[in-house]
Amino acid sequence: MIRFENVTKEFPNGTIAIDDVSFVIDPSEFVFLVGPSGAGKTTILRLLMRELHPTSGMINVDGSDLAAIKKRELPLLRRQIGAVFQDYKLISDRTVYENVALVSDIIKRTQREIDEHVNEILSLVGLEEKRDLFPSQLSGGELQRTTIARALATQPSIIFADEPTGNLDQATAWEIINLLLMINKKDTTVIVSTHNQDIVESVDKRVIELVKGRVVRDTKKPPEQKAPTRESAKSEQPSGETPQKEAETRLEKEPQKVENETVPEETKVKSQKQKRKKKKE
Amino acid sequence: MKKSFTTTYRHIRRTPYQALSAITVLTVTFFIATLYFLVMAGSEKVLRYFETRPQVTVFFQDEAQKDQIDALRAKIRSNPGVSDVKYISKEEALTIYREQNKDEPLLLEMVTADILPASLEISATNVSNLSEIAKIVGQEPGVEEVVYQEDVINALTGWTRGVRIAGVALLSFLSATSMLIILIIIGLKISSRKVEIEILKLLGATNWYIIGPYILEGVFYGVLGAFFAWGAAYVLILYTTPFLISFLGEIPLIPIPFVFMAMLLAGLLIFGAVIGSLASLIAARRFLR
Repeated sequence: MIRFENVTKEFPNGTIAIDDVSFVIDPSEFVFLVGPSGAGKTTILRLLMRELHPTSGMINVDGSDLAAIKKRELPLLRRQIGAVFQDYKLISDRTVYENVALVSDIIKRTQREIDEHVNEILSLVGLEEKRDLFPSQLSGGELQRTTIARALATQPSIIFADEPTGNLDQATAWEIINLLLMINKKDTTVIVSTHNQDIVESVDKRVIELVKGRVVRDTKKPPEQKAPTRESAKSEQPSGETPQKEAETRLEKEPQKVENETVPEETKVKSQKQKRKKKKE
Repeated sequence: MKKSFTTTYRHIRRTPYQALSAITVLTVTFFIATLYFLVMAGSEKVLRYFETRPQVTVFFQDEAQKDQIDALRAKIRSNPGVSDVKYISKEEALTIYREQNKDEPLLLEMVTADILPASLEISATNVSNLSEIAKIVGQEPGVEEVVYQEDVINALTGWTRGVRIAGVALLSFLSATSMLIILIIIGLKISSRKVEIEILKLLGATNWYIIGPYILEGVFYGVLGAFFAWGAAYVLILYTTPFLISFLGEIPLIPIPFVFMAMLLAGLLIFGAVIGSLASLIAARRFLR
């Protein structure tokens, strides 16, 4: 669970990045963080990673107060949060495989475990063919999928994707969103910051809207599923299957082990209901 | 740890010229330090050699009786400042004289045992006792002349002290230079990987995970530089052994025992590793704040 309580971040030059922000994100929730550029979305990620300290207020992640975390415990917090950065933050002289394996290496997995795990994740994000390429040899969508793969490598409880669709065309953007939805289905909390209104409106998930650092809208209870979700996606696709379906097919083909076996009953029922609804459509 | 070695190896492999320059400069620095250390150790040994040689020689008049000499010998031996007293009779003096001048038959012909004086060769435990001993012995009956090498020893002591002070200064300077070289090279490497370090921090890497490979790299340069310097110094010593033996004469400095050289190698490797790790740590710490 992520809890922001009256969090304000003011930079030394006087800029107030976020102002008295409060929200709670439950485990396994999927949340869109929307707002124009400069609204404070990235600041929230940086606060969550404790790259920045709030000027005032309290941030709590899975029961621990971030202000109380000691410097030497910081790596453990960061391993809990899989961050997908806006500028990818991939290491340029390492291959896709090495970039993803790096996180497993940091958490001291054995080489055999790393091989198994990374191959599994790469096939999940559809990059098994590109594993030996360097970041400069990848397209925008592939770079984004690599960062998602890397974020997944520690099997974190939270994934924060900062503008993951920012530089992508609509079709690729949908691929990424569907991938994140698929990850969320495995009970991972997913926060997606974006200013892509089409996607936000098409996917029936909670939206927290920020304007000039303040929360102006929070759809805590998601509205009823909108009918045109897949249609709108379809209209963006040149031909063939929608990326959502494509990702679902991939998930069904290569089911990943769900680490946390004690999935809350409520979540299971919810996802089953959603599946049934989709079938009816 | 194994991973850190792999990363270190990759860092070195990807910047071979930086690694080569680091090792070369460190080899030269350590080579000079090693040679100077050997000079220091050598001068200490030379001093010790002279200190243990007979330092006061008492020559007796021809009429001095054996009893008189024995009494004086016993008296001198009882002095706590004296480590050894050796009697050289006229005949022994002739033998020594003959040995020393065996290539000069003319000199040998002219000398008989009669004209050579009997003597006592006295070694002092400490150089500073020499003048006192000489003074006491000079007043004894039957003594013709007392010769002592206080000036030689004093000069040698001063020289050794000078070498030691200069050595400490030079070794400190060379250590500082070696540290700076490693600090600059590792600092440059870290600086060029600043982005990667930031990423690693965000991904939850510990400080050791990030700086470990850089510290190992510094240790690698230090150890390799020390090893090559030792090798070069050893080759130089072996090459110049014939010259050094004739130059040093009786002083038993050469050949240098292998155990000493092995200990020197161990010391140098430790020194290199400490310098390397310390310099890398200083370089890396700046980027971890």
